[in-house]
Amino acid sequence: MLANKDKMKLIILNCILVLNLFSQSTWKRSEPIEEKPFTIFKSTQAFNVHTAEVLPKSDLFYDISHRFNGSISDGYSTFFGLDNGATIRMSLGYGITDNLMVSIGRSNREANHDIQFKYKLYQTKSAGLPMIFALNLGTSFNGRPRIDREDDKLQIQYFGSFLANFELLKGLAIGFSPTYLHNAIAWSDYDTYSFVLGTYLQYYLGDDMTSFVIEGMNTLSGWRGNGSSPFYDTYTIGVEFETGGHFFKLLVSNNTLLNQTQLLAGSPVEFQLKNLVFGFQITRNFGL
Amino acid sequence: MKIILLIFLLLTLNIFSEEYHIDKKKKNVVKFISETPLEDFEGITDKIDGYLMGNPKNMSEKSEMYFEIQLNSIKTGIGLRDRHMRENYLHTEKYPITHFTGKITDSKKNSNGWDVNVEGDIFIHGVKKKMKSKGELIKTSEGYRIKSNFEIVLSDFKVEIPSLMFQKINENIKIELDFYLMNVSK
Repeated sequence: MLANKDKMKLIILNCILVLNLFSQSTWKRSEPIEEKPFTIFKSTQAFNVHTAEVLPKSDLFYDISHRFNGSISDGYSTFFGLDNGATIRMSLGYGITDNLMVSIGRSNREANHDIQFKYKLYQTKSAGLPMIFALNLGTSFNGRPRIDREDDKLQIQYFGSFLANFELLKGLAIGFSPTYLHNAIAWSDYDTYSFVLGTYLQYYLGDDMTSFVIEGMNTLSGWRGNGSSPFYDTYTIGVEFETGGHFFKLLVSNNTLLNQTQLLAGSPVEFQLKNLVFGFQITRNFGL
Repeated sequence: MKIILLIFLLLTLNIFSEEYHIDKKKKNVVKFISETPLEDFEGITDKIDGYLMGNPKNMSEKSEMYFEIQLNSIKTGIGLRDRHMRENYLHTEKYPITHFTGKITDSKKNSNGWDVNVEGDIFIHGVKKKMKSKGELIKTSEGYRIKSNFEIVLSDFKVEIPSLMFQKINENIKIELDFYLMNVSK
């Protein structure tokens, strides 16, 4: 039998031993868990109107867009308008920082060249409604003017858009883009402007890779065409597929133009079945 | 008294178990490598954290380890691919970290440190799986440099590549770990 004193020792030792055996690590996570950066729209553009998304730093994208000149209502005789030639725009974009991107583009209409800068101003989801705001500024000039104006400066157009994107529900996002365009019609005899509200609604299906888009560009004030040939608001509807590196967009619209400064002035035809043309847009993202 | 001596002995042995934490000041590298005939790419991050408790005299005795990697910090070189990884494959909003808990099952001393076998549970994408791996503990002035390579199979962790994805990703992802531990029990 052990003496009481020894028993005590034993108990104390046992306690120490047990403590030691179950000794916990003193490690604690030293920095907070990094949250997933959030996005609302997947692509940097709905169809014609920009979203508030920018390319991540050092990502590049190449974009090629077509708007066929014949109406889809012409049917098989012109293969739904595809036989009648197309407006084509090619563009190259680059992410300078995670918040700033630049892109250059060229359309075959009047050989219109453009350069645009988009800057993401602010994003938050603290209010329970994810939102992103951005600014898109651009300028373009006609390399092949439709008419020679006395002052070459009048071939140059400027625009600025404020972009506001909101995620209404999981997979359903809306964007607004109030835009001012200076020198709306570069072949007009006088200086013109357009103040346009771009709006788009995009719904992503469960896999997040297929979505439906509806987009409007409504002129609130400014150029509405000449009396005899009025200009109308542009509407575009279609689908977007994302395939890992690519965006494919298939659409119908009443506007065949592609460069922002040309599009923003409006369309010479109304959004009616007989005026709808087919268009597509392919974007390829890649790294250097 | 014999019992007390025995307990003392056990206790003394146990006291030699030391604790090592990841040394954030060192160049820790975690690589996820996908190789396919069409496209190879690797995701890289330094955001690995955790600890190892073990006896520097005998690493496989009463060792314990926990390591975690922050998945949102992985960069593959293309921002859009990073986003696909986060949103479409790994669902990092729900599972922002992957972690491993385990122990060293056997260890062999070599001229630089230890060669060890490790066994434990790995958690990826909300799925837990038993895993064994080899590792190398290279003695440094502050602790150890750890190197380990192993492979995981994406489908084991219910990570699916959506059928629309053109991206080529190997089902078997190679993982390369190279990080530094510092002794914090001194």
